[in-house]
Amino acid sequence: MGNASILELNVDSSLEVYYGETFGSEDLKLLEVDEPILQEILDRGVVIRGGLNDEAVLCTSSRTYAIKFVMSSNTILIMPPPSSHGSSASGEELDTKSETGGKRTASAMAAATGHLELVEVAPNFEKLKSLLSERLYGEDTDSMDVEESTSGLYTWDDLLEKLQLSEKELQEGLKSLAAVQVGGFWRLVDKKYMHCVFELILLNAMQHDWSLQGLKEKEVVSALMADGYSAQIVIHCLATYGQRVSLAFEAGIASNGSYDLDSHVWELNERHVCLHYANQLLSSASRWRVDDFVDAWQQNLPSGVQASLDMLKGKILIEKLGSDSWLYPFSVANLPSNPAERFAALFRERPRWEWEDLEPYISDLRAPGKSVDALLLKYTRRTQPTAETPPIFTAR
Amino acid sequence: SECREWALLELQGVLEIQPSAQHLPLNAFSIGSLCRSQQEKYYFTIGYHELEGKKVSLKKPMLVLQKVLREDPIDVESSPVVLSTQYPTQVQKTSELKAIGIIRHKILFKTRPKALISK
Repeated sequence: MGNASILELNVDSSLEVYYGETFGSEDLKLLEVDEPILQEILDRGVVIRGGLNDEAVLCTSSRTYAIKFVMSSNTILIMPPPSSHGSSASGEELDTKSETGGKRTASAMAAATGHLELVEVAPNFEKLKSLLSERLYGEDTDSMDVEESTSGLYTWDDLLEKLQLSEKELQEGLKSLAAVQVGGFWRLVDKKYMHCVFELILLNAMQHDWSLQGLKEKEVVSALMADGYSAQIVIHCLATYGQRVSLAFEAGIASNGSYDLDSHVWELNERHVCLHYANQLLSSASRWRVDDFVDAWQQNLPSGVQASLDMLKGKILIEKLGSDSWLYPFSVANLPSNPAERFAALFRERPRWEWEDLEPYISDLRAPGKSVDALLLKYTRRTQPTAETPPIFTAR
Repeated sequence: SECREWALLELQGVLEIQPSAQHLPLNAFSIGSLCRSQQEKYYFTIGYHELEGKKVSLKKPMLVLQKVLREDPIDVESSPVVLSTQYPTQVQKTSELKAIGIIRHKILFKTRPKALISK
């Protein structure tokens, strides 16, 4: 270990640079970071994840970065600060004459051939989705009391270890997939099953004249438990299609003034209710005259709920045939998440798109450092026949 | 935190050990002499070459990471950086990358070396 720092060399001073004792056997790497990441690493540490076959990624609490090596043709000597026994450890300035009579030295611990750089990457939830799809939670699961084996079931820690996602991203992914934690494991509920439970909640609401803006959790759960559905799934359904409201406070105060902690109240999201019925119609017939659809849709909805075709953006496409408008299902959820593949799929469906129609099918695309405009520029050709007509997008 | 400030000495070209010295352990001899002549000028004398350079602030700070092989379970709290690999859990061998220093400056030698001819 050297006794001096090359950074604290005074004018008209010199020192000898030596190879350190462990030079050649040290495996040191240089990692370039931004100040915010640096601070987080120093405060809380980060994790570098990567299986043997994956590219390594670095995860902070909120973002994921790919790690790239940038090679240099220079010789880069890594110089540690002087050891604590060194004379300049306390930060004293070095004189031209050293106190002990021994020479001032600095030692190189290793030579680097380049450094590592961080490149922000968009989180990929495909793997998360496929892991959770191994054992979907469905009708059979609910009727069983305890599931036999835990193979194909993943806890939060299991998922973090298997996926190259940061904690915040995993949280985001689980939320976007509407996953639910049951018995410590994160589960994806079978879509049909979710629709089934939702349908029952709506039916019960109509039967008992419950307000969709103020569903009492206790009442809903007990009604559905009577039909064999587990409380967890019912509550998960309420959370997926609505949100808790703070009416709980008022609803919770019993006549004797005591506060009933169990009395949660839920408000169903109007759009989800409308989509539920829209999906039912689309499953029964895949093509509808728009007017017929709107009529049937409104008719099926609980009173007080207003539907609008805007709610179906990104789920249906409308085309004009003669004097009629027809709609058919075309859901963004079924399209690839990779931008190149997404645009290819969109142009296969329709060679020409107006911006208003295209927007809902690309607004969820994420590419590191690329805005929607940049993606449009890359994958589409924009034409505008006249200033008054809307722009048209075609494949590039 | 534990991380002190380290530095880099960067020069073009490759350091070579003279054939006469190749049998000696590396740290038996010095690479060269580093000297600061004026506020901004640094000279690095290696063998009979003299390089001229200056102290430069890095655009972005760098961390010095050291790879450490451990056989016990990782304690994420104590290690600033951890590399987690997909080894089977029976063998709890993991590679750990520890941040041991921060670098914000380097002394960079970019000019052509001047050959010194000793008398």
